[in-house]
Amino acid sequence: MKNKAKLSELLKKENNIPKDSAVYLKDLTFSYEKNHPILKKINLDIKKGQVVAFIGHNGSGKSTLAKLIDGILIQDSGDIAIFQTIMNDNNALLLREHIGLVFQNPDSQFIGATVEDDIAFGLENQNMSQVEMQKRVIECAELVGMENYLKSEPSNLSGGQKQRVAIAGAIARKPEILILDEAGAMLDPKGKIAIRNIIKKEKELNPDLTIILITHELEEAYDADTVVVLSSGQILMVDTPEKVFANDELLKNIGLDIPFAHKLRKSLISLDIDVPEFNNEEELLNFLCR
Amino acid sequence: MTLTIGKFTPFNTVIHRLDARVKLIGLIIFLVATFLSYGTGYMNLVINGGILVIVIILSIISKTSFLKLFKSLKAMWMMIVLLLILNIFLPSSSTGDFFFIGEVKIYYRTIINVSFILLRLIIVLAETNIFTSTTKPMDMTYALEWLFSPLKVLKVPIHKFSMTISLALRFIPTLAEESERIMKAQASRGVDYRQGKLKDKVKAIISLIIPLFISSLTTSSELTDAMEARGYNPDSKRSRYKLQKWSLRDTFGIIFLAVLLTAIIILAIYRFDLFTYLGVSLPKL
Amino acid sequence: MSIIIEHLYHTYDEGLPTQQIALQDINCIFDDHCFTALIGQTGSGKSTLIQHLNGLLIPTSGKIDINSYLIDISLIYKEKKGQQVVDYKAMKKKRKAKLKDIKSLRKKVGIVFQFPEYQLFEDTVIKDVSYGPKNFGLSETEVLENSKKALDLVGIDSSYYERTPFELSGGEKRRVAIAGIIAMKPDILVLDEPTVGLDASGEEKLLTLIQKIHADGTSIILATHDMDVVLKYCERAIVLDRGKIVKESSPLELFQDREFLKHSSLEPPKVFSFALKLKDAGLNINLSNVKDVSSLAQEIKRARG
Repeated sequence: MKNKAKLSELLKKENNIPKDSAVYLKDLTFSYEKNHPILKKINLDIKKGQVVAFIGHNGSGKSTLAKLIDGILIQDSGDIAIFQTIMNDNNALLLREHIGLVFQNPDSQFIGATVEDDIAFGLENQNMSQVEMQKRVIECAELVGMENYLKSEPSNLSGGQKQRVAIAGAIARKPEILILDEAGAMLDPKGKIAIRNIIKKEKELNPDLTIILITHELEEAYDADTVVVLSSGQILMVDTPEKVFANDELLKNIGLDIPFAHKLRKSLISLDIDVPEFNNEEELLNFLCR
Repeated sequence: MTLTIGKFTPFNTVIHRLDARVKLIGLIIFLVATFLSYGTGYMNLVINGGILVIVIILSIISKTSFLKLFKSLKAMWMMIVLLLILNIFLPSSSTGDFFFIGEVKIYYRTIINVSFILLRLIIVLAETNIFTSTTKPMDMTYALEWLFSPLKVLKVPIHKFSMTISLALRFIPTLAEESERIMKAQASRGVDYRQGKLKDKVKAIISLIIPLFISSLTTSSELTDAMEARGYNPDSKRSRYKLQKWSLRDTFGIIFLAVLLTAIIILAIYRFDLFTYLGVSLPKL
Repeated sequence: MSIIIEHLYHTYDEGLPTQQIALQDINCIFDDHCFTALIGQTGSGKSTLIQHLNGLLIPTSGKIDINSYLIDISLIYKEKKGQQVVDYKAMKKKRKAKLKDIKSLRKKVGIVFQFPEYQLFEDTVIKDVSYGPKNFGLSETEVLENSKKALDLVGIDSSYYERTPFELSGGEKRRVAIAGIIAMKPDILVLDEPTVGLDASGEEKLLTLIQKIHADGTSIILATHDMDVVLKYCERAIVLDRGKIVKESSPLELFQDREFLKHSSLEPPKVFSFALKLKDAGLNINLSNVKDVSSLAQEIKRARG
């Protein structure tokens, strides 16, 4: 009884945070070295079930943000709330149960000796029964298309396969928030596409899942409902992908690529061809062939 | 590439399928049996000979390359020859019966002693080889953790040790790949790992060690993050995905081992002398 | 400086259960002053092929002629019962024999591996860049001159010389590592996925740099997944799939070969597909002029009159 009371105390919800908020950041500041803040007073509210993409150049603080949300790093000041509960030293481990985090490097996040061991690692940490674990491992291996490799060791797998296993390992814990920190960055195009498709599939199966994609690739960001542009530790813009990518001055300033159609329009305008605003490539094509 | 001795071989024999814990207990019993004294030197030889027969049968069943083991241990053979010569020419004791080869006086005791040492060495190597080549490193870790689990009462963090060993085993191939990669990159920069002056060689090694060290540090910090992200907490209770199911063959294995253990203990305590029993007279040692 | 490869085969772990055929009957020529793309998915044999170019790997069989440095493991025959059979033993012996003067080959062919920042180890940037040229026996002044030039080329200025490479940013580290290879003044520069992990601006800087090195007279062999890069920078493209060369042509020809693209997992660059669509819709686009967005815009302007 006492334990239960304690638990509810630990996970106390704050009423001033919106009810539909999954991740709520308030004045979040973090620095690795003194006086060199990586993140400066970040304020953001990510709603339940949203797909949010964080884009920004290397060193903009995207990955740091992911680790803060997962409680792996601890902020200098400001608050993080997961489902209305403000994170502190005592409840960080509990709140982490809501979150799955997949990193960039396929090799260093493969923990188990084989594929099945790796997927099970997070379940062992949840002290799950063996029978249930076995079911869950197979389920998740199937989701990422690795069911035929359960006994394989990491040295016999490609980078793309290892990343798929890492995703299975994260999803197996049934998180309500899934964060992918450049999960495709080290893979070839085929590997990247496979990962995007897996995430889309998981979202369809589980529409309430909140997804945070950290990326510097535009195509990936197109899968999101909302794009957050980060630069030098600050949020520059929060909007739909279409709006953000139309703002090519901003993208260029922070060292990101501009979508092809926008780039072409700009090039044409600079050659004195007057191209009106358009919504998609098709319209541009039609205009040019007229 | 040559087959490495003692490395896990991915066959699927009865011995491979045996529970790692049974195999670990088996290894211990066999080692004890090998090192017990059974009274006379002749009896030691006979019983160890018997153990050797069992070990050979086991290694045939488990498809471990018994012969290859000895071919690959060239250094050991040199040692054995040296041991033989030393013992024959400088006998440790000059008692008992002896015979002559030419001018050299040779004691029966020496012959028995040397063959006994040799036999023990072979048996110990073969026993360990069977264990390591039929048991996956991870299963070995599990078995060791299980064996030492009584120490938990004394607050020894057995689980943390075993996790450390598992992770080390997991990352050996990664480290090997990494070092090959770095070696190739440095070779492309004109490093010659085989030839050159001592100073160049030292530099060559440094050009491998430092990047390897840095990448290991990166890997371990990333690994820590990944483990934390999947909810690892060294102080809380974890369940286990891989519990080997105890099967009938494991029970048989344990029964076999129990019989063996009883037999050797009886033999060791009662010092049963087969030769006296049979009335065979042998040279005095 | 050209490289001629004939009937190159490479098998890993030959004769073991883990045996894997990585390359099969590779025949190709990298011309003097070429800018060639090597295209292929992970596991296509790209990396294996690259490692043959400076003798890190020796062919299981076949011949490589790198500007008359010859590695020849062609089939050797012997007489057996009156029949000609391949003498595998003799070939194995030849493969194991030490290559003569391998350093001269490694000086000619510089390889920048994937994530080259891992090869940094000296305590200062300038020392690390000098390490390669020093190993190849250049004089002290030459070493320093080459290194400074290389660092200048990659855009690392003199204020960095005495800093330790480990405290630089990821992109800077990579440029220093690449400078370490450029400072060797290779005649052929091979780069394996040099832009992986860089953001758009870092990527563009690096490619411009490679183009500059090429303009200075160095042959470039570039392994890449990025078809935009292939179209914009490369003169030829070699496509590898499961250890075989499945296509060797100009990028223009490659991206027009719809039949081939359909069966491979390659996607032509967006610029090119768009240009093709424009052309199909009746606009008179000269595809050979389309290299990137700005050249496409110019073509559109020209075509529209």
